Amino acid sequence: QTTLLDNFFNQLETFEANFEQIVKQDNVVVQQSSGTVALKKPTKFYWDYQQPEVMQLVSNGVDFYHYDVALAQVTVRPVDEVAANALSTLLSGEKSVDALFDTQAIGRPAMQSRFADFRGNADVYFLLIPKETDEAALTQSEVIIGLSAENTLNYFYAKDDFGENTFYFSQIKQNQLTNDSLFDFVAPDGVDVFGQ
Amino acid sequence: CASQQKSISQAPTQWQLSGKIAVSTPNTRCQTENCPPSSSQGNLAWIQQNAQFDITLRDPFNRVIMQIKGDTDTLQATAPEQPTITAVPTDFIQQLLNDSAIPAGDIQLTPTDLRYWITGRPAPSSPVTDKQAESFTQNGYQIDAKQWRNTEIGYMPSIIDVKKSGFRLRIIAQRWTR
Repeated sequence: QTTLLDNFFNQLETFEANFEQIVKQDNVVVQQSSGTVALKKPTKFYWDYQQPEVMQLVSNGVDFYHYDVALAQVTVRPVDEVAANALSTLLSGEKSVDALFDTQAIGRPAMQSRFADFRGNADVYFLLIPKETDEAALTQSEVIIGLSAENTLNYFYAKDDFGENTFYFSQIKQNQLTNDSLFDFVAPDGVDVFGQ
Repeated sequence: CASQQKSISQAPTQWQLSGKIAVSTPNTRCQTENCPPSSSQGNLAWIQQNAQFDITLRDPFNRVIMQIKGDTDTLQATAPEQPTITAVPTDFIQQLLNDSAIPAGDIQLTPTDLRYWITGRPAPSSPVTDKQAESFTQNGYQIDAKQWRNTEIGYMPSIIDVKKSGFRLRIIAQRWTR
């Protein structure tokens, strides 16, 4: 499985999709969000949340911008303060899946019995448990990745100290993004970049 | 304007606030010149009942990051998968910011002061200087309270900024209730 996942993340340069995100804490859904996402190796990302609140989380690879549209307020911090998460680490391609995780396939029946709200929008699922090494140093304790038969990333689940995060992706485009300006965040006029 | 001059006696003693919070501190890991500050924002719920406070901080995905309960003398802070912290209010906030470049004794920020500053009023504990219609200075902090409006607990600010050297705290009160 590791080779298959390594091959997937090695070939993945950019990723665009619609997403639905379900956040649980102590097994209770605390937020359901949706929007669009664009990712570019190694650490550029653009999460454009439309529901429940309009918010943008953007990284130009150096700084991470959190733009709360309703408040017309942006906070900024070095991206490495927020990038120690499994998805960013896998997408960055800096370390192999094998260096970071112990991996095993997980069947649909097992997914179905574990997740009451399982949707099965991917064809194959992999359970990744971070290795206890400094190199891993991830905030997540468990990750599940779902790939389609067409080799697209359809499902991503991560568990950490604060709870569980599940992403369902659709309208997926991989390695087709040409316009980089999406990641170069510029605060609109009248928006307060907090602290600057 | 004059009607906004809030005397301490008008500060409500029991209130609930829900809104947003943003904190900015100097970027301690940046090696070059003119580094942007390191700031972050999340959601805030604050219940004040006389001297008792119950504060919940959530991340942008609405997950509880920390809950802080206490009064003037002591507080307890709990965070997922972390040991409970029991501390004197002044020391606790210093602990939270202890990796920032701000000199150790420089913060001296306590929920006891914040309890009043959030309502746009000075704390009764120490002298106030540089008093303006929507701002004042106390304990070395400049407090700006803007966008006042009528609420069920009286005339309250919507944006509260608390600043001192490289430290900046912003609270956006989206709702004031009893």
